[in-house]
Amino acid sequence: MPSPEDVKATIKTYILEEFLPGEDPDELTDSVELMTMGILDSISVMQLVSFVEEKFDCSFDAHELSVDHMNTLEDITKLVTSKL
Amino acid sequence: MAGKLAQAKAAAAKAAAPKPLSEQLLEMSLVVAQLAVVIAAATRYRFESPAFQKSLPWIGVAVVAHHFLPQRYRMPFFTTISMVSVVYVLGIGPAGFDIASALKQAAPLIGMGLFLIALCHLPIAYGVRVALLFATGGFFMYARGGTVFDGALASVWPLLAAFFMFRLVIYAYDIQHEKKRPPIAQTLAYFFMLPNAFFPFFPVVDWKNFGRGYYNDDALRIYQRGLQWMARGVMHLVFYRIVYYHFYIDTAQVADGASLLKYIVANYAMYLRVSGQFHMIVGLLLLFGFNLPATNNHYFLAESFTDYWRRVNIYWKDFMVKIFYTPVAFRLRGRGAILPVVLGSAAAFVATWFLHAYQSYWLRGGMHFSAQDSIFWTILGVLVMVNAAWEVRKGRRRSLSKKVDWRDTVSSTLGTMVVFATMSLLWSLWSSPGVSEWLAMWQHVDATFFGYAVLTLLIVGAVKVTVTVTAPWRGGLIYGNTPKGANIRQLATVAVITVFIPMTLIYVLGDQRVHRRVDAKTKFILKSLKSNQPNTSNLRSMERGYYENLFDASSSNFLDSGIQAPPDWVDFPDMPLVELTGDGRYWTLTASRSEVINGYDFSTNAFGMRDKEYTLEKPDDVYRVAMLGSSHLMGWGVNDGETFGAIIEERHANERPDGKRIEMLNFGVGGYSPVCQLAVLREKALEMKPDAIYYIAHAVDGALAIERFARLVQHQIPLEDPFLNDIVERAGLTTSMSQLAMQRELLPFAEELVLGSYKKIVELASDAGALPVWIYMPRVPERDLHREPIEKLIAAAKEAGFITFDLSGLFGDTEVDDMVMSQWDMHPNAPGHAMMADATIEAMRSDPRLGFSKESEAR
Repeated sequence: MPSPEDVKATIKTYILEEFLPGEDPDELTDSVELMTMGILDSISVMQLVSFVEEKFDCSFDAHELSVDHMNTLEDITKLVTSKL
Repeated sequence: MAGKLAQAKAAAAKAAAPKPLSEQLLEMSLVVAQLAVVIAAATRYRFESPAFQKSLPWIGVAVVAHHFLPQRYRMPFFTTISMVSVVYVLGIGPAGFDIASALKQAAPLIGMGLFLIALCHLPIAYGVRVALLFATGGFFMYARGGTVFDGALASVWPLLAAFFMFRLVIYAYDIQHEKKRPPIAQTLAYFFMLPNAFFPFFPVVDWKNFGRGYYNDDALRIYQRGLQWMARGVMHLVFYRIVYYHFYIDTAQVADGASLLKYIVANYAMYLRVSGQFHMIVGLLLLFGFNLPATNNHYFLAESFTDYWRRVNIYWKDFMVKIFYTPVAFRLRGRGAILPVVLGSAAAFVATWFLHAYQSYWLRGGMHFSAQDSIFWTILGVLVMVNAAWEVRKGRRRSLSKKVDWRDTVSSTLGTMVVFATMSLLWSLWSSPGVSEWLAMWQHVDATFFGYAVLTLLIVGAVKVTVTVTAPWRGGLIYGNTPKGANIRQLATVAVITVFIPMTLIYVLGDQRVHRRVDAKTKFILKSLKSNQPNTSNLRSMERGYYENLFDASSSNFLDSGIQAPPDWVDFPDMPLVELTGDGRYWTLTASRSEVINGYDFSTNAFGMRDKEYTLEKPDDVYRVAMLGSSHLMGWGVNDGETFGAIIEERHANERPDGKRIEMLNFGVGGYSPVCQLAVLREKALEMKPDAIYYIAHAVDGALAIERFARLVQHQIPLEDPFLNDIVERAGLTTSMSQLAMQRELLPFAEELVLGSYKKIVELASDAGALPVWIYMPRVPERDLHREPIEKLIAAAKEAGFITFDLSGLFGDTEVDDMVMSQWDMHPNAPGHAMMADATIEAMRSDPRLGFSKESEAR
């Protein structure tokens, strides 16, 4: 089972490559509000969920695709690790 | 790096540390001062409903009291004042606040609301709960039709709908996934939230955002955002009035390329009213600690269609995403990257289209599915879907920093211009009275249209570049994001730039002392910004609405939140004393009837005049004046004997130096235009041997002439006068054309139609030995705002041979509300008619030719 740090690193790499190409990785801290700031929107969050489900072999619920659960890297990591 | 980290930690520690009381008081004083200036500006310009204007200062007091309450009492306090606002709004009527009426209506509203909330919390299966909610909602919808409670809850339904029609769906969905039951005060605050009673067109707020945002940041920072949003709301509403009074036209006024572009852009810009309202509402909620996301944020500058969809009403977008998009797209995940997004978006747009009609049903009482709605939402939906698919494949520009990249700036600016052009076109179609009417306007496309279109897009592009380039400098200012731990000096700087300066400027520009010191044109514009009355186009539409409910171009947009008449209100054509004539008058009043209409005694004499009885033969000792006019002369909105004609006759019957008693015969009938006046003169007035004809004119006579004439032609009513048949022929009117199409073709003939009618009236009057007099009588709301049509009418009347009088300004600086019969009907009330009578008799005395002055006796 991957550690929370591995999960976070994988998700961070995916977000940087897919949605923030060219951005300084240091700028994407654990507390950056990805959904509130518009980095993740209804389209990209669906892409992210598909990636995470496939990568970590887990399953989300539709209501979890929200600011409550996926606003920051920290939130997403917590959600994913809770499913592993 | 280590140094930066240390600095950040120090700043965070400073921000987290509790502030001294003196500093808190100082900061709160700054909030109160800003709130005072925002309220002063908003009330000076009389934005939105009188109930809201009257309540704003009290809301300001409540904001301060709320802040100083212990945290645990704040939510219950907000809930309490929200409930009070509901009772207040339901109890306020033409005669002021009536507590009995308020409670009578508030009780079923709150009762039904509590019942719906209770259904959401029933300890039964989620599916059964949803089924119960659907069944109850269905019953309420059926009852909304007026069949169950016989219209007794007519005022209650729109508010119940505003509070529950969408929020209940969100609430039922969200609490299903919550681990603990929400506090009752929070639930009640969510449904009955304070500003909603004043603004029913604010039905959607996300439950999660509402709860999550409550004091989730430093209170002062939340309040500061709220104040800046309210200030922006005031600015939007001021800009809206500029558009509404100086640019907005209806389809019938589109006569060339320039006016076509004006129609398209002005219709799109009319959305400023909605965004202004939303800013005010969200700003107010922020002042009570609900740190809600920004809405309608720079929507004119959206750089893609998905960006537009995200910006224009984020609350609606979030609702659609939560309830429709995500469930559909989520179910389809794994079937490629594009299909889930496209089908999810399709589901959201089909729901949006249907729910707009559903909302229209709740708020207006009728389900409106128009071709324009379908086309608008289909095209916008397809554009967003294509755009979304493109973003999935190619990605979109995102950044964690605020650095300006020139290549991105150019591409986003071009995107903004494309989106602005497309949305303007779509919006003009959505707002038009019909697809054929919208298409017909395009016959006017010419080089001027393209010239102005390019210029408009260049201006939009320039604004976009400015906003983008200055974003790093403006930083949080424009979004109200004051830095965490900001000191009082920094807060004051933000407050001065974003609230004090713009609000003070707007407040000062609304001062009458300023108006007196500027030239006439500037005064005209400044005064229009303070007006909350219908513009010329809508005044005409309004009268048509009252008289025929036709050609209401603005009503196709559900967002138009005009003040509604009570359900039992009778419009002129629906009253029992109106009958069709089959001649140029089109309709007339039934003779010898007496009714009570909208609470006013309304009687007609044996000649079908809204007047006392007269003999057909004119007595020798009588000087008889036949007054021709429309609803104002007829006296729509006053009792028998209170019309200005009746007042003149009663008070000044013996004023003539020749000793003859004055008779003022009232031939006024609602909706009459110059062509109708010509017909009534011929059919009725001349028969009574008048000594003078007084023609009572209004500013909309020209526009009304076209509309009424088109109606006569469409109903194939024989036209007696050759000049009218000549106009029909030259305008190319055929009976297969719609009335609106005829009106458009008649537009170039408006002045000819008025002048021709005036000349014929003068000719008939002169042949009968009657003195032709023309009096411009302003309607209460328009005051002196619209001089151009008045000047044209005066010129036409003079050319026709009338003795003319211009009574502009007769209402002086009196408050409009004091002079009109109601907020939904701007016809003058009894005091208004008394002022009209005084001004008319003054005019009659002023010209010796009318025979009411000593001078005339000498002559």
